[in-house]
Amino acid sequence: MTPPQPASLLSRLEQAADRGADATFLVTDEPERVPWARVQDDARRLASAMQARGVGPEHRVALLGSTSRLLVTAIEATWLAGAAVIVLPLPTRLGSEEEFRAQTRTRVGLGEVTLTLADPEFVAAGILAPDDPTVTTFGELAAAAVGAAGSSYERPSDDPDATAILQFTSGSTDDPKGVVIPGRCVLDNLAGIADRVPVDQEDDAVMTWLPLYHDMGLVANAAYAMTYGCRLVIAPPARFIGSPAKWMEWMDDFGGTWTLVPNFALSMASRLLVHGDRLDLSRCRCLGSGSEPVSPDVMHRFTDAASAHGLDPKAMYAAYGMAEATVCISVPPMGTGFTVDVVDGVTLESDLDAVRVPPDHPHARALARCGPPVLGMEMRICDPDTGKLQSADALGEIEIRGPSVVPGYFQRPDATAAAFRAGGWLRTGDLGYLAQGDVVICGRLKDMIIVGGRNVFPEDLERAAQAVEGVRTGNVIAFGIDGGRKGDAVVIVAEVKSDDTERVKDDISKAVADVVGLRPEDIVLLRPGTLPKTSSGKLRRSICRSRYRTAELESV
Amino acid sequence: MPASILDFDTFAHRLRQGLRINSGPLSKNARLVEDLRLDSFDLTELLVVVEELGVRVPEETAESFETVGDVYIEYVRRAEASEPDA
Repeated sequence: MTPPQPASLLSRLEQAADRGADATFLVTDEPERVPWARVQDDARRLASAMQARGVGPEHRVALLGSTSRLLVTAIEATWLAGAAVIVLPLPTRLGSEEEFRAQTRTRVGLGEVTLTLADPEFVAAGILAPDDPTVTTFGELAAAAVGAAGSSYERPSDDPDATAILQFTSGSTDDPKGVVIPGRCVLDNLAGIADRVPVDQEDDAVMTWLPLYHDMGLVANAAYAMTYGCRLVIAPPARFIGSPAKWMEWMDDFGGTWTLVPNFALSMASRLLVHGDRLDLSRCRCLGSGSEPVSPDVMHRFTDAASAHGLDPKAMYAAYGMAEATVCISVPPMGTGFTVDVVDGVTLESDLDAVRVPPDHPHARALARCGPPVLGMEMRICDPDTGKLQSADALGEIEIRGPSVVPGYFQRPDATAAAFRAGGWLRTGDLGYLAQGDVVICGRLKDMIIVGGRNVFPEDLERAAQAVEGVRTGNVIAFGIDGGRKGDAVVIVAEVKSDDTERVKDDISKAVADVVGLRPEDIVLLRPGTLPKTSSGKLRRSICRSRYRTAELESV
Repeated sequence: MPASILDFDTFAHRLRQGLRINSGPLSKNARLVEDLRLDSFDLTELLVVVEELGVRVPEETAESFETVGDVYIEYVRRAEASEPDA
């Protein structure tokens, strides 16, 4: 089933392109179907033009553009040139242009890139540094690639350790960290996924609208189809955002067999499937939820709704992963279907103990089972404070080790050292346990908030909120609570010195939207001196969150 | 197919519930982004709510919505067009 593993990402891409499959781009209403072999020919010319601009092994190329044939070609070209790709996030709808400009330039700077390719509107808007000779548009480089610059491609030698991706998903926007993902990790992790969900190159069609700056879109979908040589049907995220019913319609239209989304998309689709026209989802073998906490309720509602359109309930699954493990840590074997582990929700929150109870227990809380760790991935559960090894069924911090765990963060030995324990064990920061070998995630040690599959750091929200007039500097806490429509619901708690509470709330909402492009679901204003802090003045986010939950915060 | 076309207040109430908007009743003039601060998830959710009422808004139209009133007008227009006796 799984083909033998060639030595490098480069040779795998070359082999896969010859298998006869294609990529279908849904950028407009007219699908554009292009054989992978043609994408690769274009990519080779583009790689040659990149080489003419100094790109090669040990170099990094930043890409800033919406999902298109050119963006996918440029990703492949970067790999054919032996370099690492940094796919930069696109602006959020509510976010300010200033913030977008600052974040983009920070990542380009920290990535020490040799070349940045961008959509022309971003260049025109001055998002990238003006007069920077390393910046050009996708179109300009593609034009150069058609000429002489495109005809002198020099194939780099195979190097499994060469960095393929620099993924900026960790760290707040003030302090972003680039996860270094070598080509060997990409191949190993995808082989781990293929071991659970065997690839059928002739029949598979991977359908995705996930952004390519997200590891799930870039690795688990695009790179998967590119390296196994199966069909990819890909749309820009904006098309799903602008018409959410399209995702399931595309699955029908293009016979999608594989699709992977965050929980919020399943929640929306479950409601749309009840109302829309009858679809044929019977070809789908694999419909996964990942990258934000998986809600069993949503999974069940979606399965019920989609079964009426021919979806096999056994195609549903929940997966667990992170960029530091390339993308996937655990996934159930195909055909298992979505399953849960039922524990006492009260003991879980108060004592951090997973006590199994029957489903009709008054405190019963169903948690998604995310399958066993992928092939080659070792896992252990440790006490997060002492690092002491726990039994596998006890709740603790999940630590992982294996060939698809990345070597660390780009030029950040401090952050790399903090992430690993002795013996090469990576601290995931996630709390969980193993239920008969299946990974179950219960929460996070880190204060990170996940909205729509995107990691949001409380520091960024707090920084935005405390800039508002009337808010006491250093006296803002941001946290997420589960059960939001789009992942975690964002709550801001701030001490104020102003009586104009409506204006302050409004300004906080606007400031948060400017910086992270999100609307806080709730804002609580407190009297000075009442925000939970340690004796040394550090913010106590988890205490604040539990007081919010139990309605113990006294708002002004 | 919409069973019956909702009046504005009922429609606005459904939007407030669906989008968890905590402010008071919505006016037709309330701007989606500037006043209600709907982010892109909220705007997608808004399309889901309207579709649950039996109306599919095309991608291009959704992009041009500025106020709650714009959404309501489009909803009524499409709901009327889909009624057999309209």
